[in-house]
Amino acid sequence: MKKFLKNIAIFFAIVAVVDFSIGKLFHYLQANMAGGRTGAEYYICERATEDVIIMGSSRASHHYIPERISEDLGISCFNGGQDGNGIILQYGRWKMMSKRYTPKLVIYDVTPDFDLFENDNERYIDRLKPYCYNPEVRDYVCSLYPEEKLKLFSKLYRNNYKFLETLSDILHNGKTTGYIPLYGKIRDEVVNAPENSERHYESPDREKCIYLKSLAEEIKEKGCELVFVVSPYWKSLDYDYSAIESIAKELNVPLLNYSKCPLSYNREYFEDSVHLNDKGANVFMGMLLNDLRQLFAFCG
Amino acid sequence: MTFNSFTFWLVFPCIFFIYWLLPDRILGKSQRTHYVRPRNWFLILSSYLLYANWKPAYTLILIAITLLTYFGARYIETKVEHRKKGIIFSFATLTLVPLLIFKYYNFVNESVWSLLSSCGLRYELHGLNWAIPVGISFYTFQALGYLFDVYYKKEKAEKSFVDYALFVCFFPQIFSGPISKAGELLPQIKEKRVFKYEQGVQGLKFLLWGMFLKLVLADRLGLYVDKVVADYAMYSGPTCVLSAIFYSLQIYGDFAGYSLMAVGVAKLMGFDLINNFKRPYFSVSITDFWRRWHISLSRWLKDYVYIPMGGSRCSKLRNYWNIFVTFLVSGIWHGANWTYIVWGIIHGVAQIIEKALGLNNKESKGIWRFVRIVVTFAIVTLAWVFFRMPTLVDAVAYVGHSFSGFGMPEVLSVTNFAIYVMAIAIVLFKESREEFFPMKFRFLNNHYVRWTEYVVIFCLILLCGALDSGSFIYGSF
Repeated sequence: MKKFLKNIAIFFAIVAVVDFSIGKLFHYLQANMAGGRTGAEYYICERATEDVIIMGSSRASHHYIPERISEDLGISCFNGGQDGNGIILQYGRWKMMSKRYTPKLVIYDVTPDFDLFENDNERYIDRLKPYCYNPEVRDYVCSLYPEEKLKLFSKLYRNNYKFLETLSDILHNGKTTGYIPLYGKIRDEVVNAPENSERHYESPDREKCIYLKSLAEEIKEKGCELVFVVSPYWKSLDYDYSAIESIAKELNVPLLNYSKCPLSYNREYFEDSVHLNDKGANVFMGMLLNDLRQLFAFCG
Repeated sequence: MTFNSFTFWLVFPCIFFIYWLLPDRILGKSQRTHYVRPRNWFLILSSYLLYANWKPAYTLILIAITLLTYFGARYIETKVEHRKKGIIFSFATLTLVPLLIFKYYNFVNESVWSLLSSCGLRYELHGLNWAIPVGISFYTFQALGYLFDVYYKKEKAEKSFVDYALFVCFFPQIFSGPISKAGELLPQIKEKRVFKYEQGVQGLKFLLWGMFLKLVLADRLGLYVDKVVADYAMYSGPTCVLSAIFYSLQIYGDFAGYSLMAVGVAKLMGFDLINNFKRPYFSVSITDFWRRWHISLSRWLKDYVYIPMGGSRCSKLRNYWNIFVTFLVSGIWHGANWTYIVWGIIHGVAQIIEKALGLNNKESKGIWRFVRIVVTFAIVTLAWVFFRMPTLVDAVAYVGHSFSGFGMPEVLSVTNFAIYVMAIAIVLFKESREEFFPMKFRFLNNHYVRWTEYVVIFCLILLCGALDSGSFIYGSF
């Protein structure tokens, strides 16, 4: 038994050394990456100083064009939308960002599946794990999932699954503004589906609502402006927005709901039922900028 | 609590240390109990606690099956020959009742209802909205196997209830097998156990490789498969074919991974369980496949279904019928759905054809062997489509769609795809070496190279594994 335990101890000691070294290497790569997804993520977490920050899911990253906002409003902007993610990730990012600086305006694009409805929240903390060297993020992640306290000791675990992305992003050198344009067109089957044929009325997720509220409160406390936006959906999709409406009302945050706007009925503007293509994003930007000018004096 | 859950790996070291710190036996106070076995008691306690961790109420089923088969076997042994048949039938039926209710009630109810509806008659019974007790098929078959062994006089009825209870509930195998035979496990439960270094190291190696198969190969491939299967009509034919191949590898990684972990954990506790897999995708026929895939179930079906029906010591036609029924039972055992039944029928019919053509025991070499491996893999993969799809209609549509269109399959995610390729390459290399060149690449046996392999595999699990405790496919059977 003694020899057995001694060998196990040696094995884990070697693993710990490898784990530490590879972890350091990944951290170096992330911190020195100019472009790609890794670069954009590190930028929003550790470097961004733009006046306007956009948060949300893939809908945010495909719908908001920072160049248009900068040109029209004369203020800098960065799009921090992240596909397959919502408030659980974005609140962690806000924790990092707010420690460094306070933007003038945060535009939060609400996607009910990722920001309001109940589903497995554990997957949303994945992209925060590499940043758990930051005590605020680490505390936040561990408050959500206490067992992470132990798991996060491993730096390999922190980079689980993301390491290939990090390595491939070495090839992407160009700095990005976070906007990812789409150039496809919506399929015929989706176009032919009747209006509101896909109804999603699910119970709100308590945890997501808590963090949406906390985000709104903390942004306001910092003297920054916040606006919740629901960008356009294709006409067949219908969601329940009562949870975000009550949060916006309670905290006196403006809510711009474009889920069913004239764009929703024009197939030229959609890549699929949830994402606008580049053409649609440009039209949507025009509508949003008009409304932002009316809402905030500094946008005038 | 499954082997891939983080909680298990927090709990298991405690179980391991307490288990080995406890004395193997203490002299009893009374004459009747010569000694008590603290380790066995502790294993029973741990097994029940781990099982109860999922749904405490379902431990009652486990207890009921243990009591029923324990007393059933003892009762059968005392009876004269001509009365035994009726008694074994009664006890076997009673043992199967929980399995039949939990697993097949809804299926039978729905099937009868749709049959009656098609005749214009409607009589609907309410379905059961209960979760199936985890591992029920495995421990029911293990207990039933013991009962049959006593009936066929292969084993004597176990006198010690504690030993028998541990035989049924032993935690490494209760969730998804392997299905042990009383003759293998009970003597190990009875004998004095001392920690053996080689056995412990072997256990850790099995655990590590099992983890890799499950977390890196199966769970990652599962992401691709789930995406394609959920919306197969939207993907090209070659993508559907690739997804079917990936599912074959996924289910292998999932089940073989689990079995290796079960064998590994058992070895760490001083037990040797049957290894359930022997490189099944290098089989040259479906008959050969079933000698290498889920070996413990194949053996169970052979001993308690195929042979009692007459096996191969009968006419050709009767033999074909026996094969067909055995694989029909195998299909039904896997689940209450027509898809599993068709899956079983495909395997049964393929074996009958092989037997009729004399291919079942024919050995092949060189290119002919390679061709046979590819053909067998293709048949197995086709059958897995029926196993995977929710309904027969979907399965047939999926197969039809797979043959539409040409071109390269879609990658879906470059990062994930790179992981699939790496994981498949590692598994293929390891298994090819063991199957075809066991004496080559000897440098891999070097002490330092082996340690490097272990560290690399462990780091790959941390870097590429799906570490969110996804469930095991066979956990639901």
